[in-house]
Amino acid sequence: MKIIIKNSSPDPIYKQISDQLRGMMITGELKEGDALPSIRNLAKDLRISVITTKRSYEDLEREGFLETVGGKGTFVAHQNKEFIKEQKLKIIENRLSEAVDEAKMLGLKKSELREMLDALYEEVL
Amino acid sequence: MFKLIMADIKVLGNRIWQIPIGVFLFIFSFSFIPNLEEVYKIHHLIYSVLIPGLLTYELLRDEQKHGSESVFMTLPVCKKTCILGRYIVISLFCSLSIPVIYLSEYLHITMHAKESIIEFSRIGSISIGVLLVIYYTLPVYYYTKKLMRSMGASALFLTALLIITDILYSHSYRLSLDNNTLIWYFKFSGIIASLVLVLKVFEHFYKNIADRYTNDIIYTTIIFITIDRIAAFQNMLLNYISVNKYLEIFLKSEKHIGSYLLFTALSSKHGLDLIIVGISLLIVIFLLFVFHKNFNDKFNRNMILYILSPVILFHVFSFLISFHSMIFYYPGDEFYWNIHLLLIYMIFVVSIIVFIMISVRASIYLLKNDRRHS
Amino acid sequence: MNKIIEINGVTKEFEGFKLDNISFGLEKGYIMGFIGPNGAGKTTTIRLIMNLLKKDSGDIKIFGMDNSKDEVAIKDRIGFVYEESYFYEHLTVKKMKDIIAPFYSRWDDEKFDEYCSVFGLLPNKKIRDLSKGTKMKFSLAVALSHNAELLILDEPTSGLDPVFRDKLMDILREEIQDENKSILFSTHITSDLEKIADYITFINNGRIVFSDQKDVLLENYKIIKGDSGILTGEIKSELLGVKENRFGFEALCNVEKQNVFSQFEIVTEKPTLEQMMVYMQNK
Repeated sequence: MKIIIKNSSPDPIYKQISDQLRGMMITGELKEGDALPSIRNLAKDLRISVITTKRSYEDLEREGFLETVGGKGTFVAHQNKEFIKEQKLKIIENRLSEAVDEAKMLGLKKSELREMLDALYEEVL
Repeated sequence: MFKLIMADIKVLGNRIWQIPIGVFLFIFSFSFIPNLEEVYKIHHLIYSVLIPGLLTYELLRDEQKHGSESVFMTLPVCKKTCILGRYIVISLFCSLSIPVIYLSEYLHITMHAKESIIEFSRIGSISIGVLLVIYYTLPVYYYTKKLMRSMGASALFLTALLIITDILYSHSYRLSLDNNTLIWYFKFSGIIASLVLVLKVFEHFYKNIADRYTNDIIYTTIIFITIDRIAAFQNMLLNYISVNKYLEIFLKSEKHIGSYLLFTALSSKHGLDLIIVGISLLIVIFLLFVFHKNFNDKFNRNMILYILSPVILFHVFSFLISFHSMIFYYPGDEFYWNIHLLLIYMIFVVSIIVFIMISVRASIYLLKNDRRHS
Repeated sequence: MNKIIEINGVTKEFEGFKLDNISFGLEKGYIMGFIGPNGAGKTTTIRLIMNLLKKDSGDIKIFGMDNSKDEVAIKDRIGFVYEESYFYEHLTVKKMKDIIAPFYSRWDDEKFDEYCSVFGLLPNKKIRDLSKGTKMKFSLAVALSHNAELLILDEPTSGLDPVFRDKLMDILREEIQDENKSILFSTHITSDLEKIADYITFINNGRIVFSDQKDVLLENYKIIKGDSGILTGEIKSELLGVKENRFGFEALCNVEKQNVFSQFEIVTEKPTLEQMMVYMQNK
């Protein structure tokens, strides 16, 4: 399991963690029933505050991605992965249509928009 | 408690040897000075209390330098237990001096072929002598932090005092003066003269620190005089009571009209003396109060509380014992005399230990309540 | 009892310095960083907590117990690391340990020996012959060897190299894995606390400036950089601290007030604890 925190990122640390964990659960890197490290263990390894890790886990728990079994730890919850993937695809579709609208208003050609998309993919990774 | 004592002994362990050697050297060296028999009679007790006391101060100062008093303050120990444990250790240290005193005494006897002169019955004047020297040594020690220097100052003072009063007394003899008040004036002049001598000597050798403790020494002098006045007042009061008691006896027996008249005269004379001493005591207390207001230094402000209190304690006890014996016993009762002596000795020992306890506590108190600077 | 440390309205006055109405708390299982410039009152506050000084008013509860009434029971459960080595210099490591150990009810000799070997402490070396870092290691070994539930560290790392400071953070992180333990860490080297602290309390001129979750603090403030021309009196009043020079300004700003700059070209950054301390020094 790989979690990397970027200091320069505008996102707060707890959000970076929950985003990365969520991503792993969607791609299947973290399967249902997998045990996650305790909040303290994670805090120690990432060298951050335990309150931060606690917050990420709480957020993910609220979203339904994680569940805590008292005394045993935190595990990846049973969930409808397909449903989640669909939700995410919808968000991407909405955002892309926004981008397309803006491009059309500016008079950008499809190929130019595609170039931008390629460049962005290279950058964010 | 036991843990604390063991801890303290482990910490102080390597200083124990300094006590017997120090005491021995001072006592033994003084035995060689001729015509100072009077000095010698009280010196041994003075130094047997002084040296352990000063070593304790040295330890506390050392601790303050490194902040080691924090060791015991951060451990799970009650502060009072901590201080009490330290007193016990110090008392143990003090008692180490006693066999040394006897050793020195033995050597003194064999070398000078004289009678034993340690008299434990001279308790009343000894306590004053002990405290006198300690009061002069403390300010010097507090500021110069040197054991030898403080000892030197007190030795000089004591010697000067005794020589000067010796000279003055020998003159009073020639004038056949026999007046309590006059004798006291000699004592007073002797103290001032010796004090000035010590201050001048110190100013000459240690110019840069002389100012700071000049005030302290003056303050200490006033404290000493207060104590002396308290002692004198106590004596006067007891005399007055005993004379009146004799009067009572004579009234009841209806004999010796002549003695009756004598005692009446004595009674009124003692009454007058008592009033004079009482007034001088009040004056001195007033002076003390005035001086006390002028000092911001914690050392001086705490001196009154921590040093006068055991003395007053001692005198109250001593007075009560004497008063008790006077009221309930008649002169010539052997039994009461021995108990009286034993009780007074015990009071003396307790008072000195209390004095040390309170002084040590004073230093710890001062250490804890000053914000650590430098 | 959830709060390990509870301080309420504590005041202490000296000649020329006053600790005024100090209140904050620390819950079980967390690390609190206690920051402030030199002379702000950190050491005084800690001495008040340890009952080394008598407070003028207010109350202090440790483990739910009053710190002056139940002093002994409390100190048995506290591991204390001091700024300077306060041990008796003429004793050896072993002798000093032998003096201290019997006072603690849960002293663990094995643990102490373990720390000694990890830290490289030789039992027969005199304390005055140890280097400053080694003396600190000894203090730490003692504090960690009696199963203390609360660790109080008063500026333990001033004057120590970054390598050892990093190692100390590792040790503290390891300790805090036990959620029944808490740590109070007082320092003016904020970079040490940047990563490890859960809560931060900032003290300045004898007053608490803030006491809050570290993440919340760092998220609620931003460093704004821009052209000095932007600064009007009105804008300046919304800022917490400004530094101006020929090339521009840098200021600390509460996130809520950030919109004053909405029409200007500015750069915003996450503040570091050090910056927060510097800009808030006039509070």
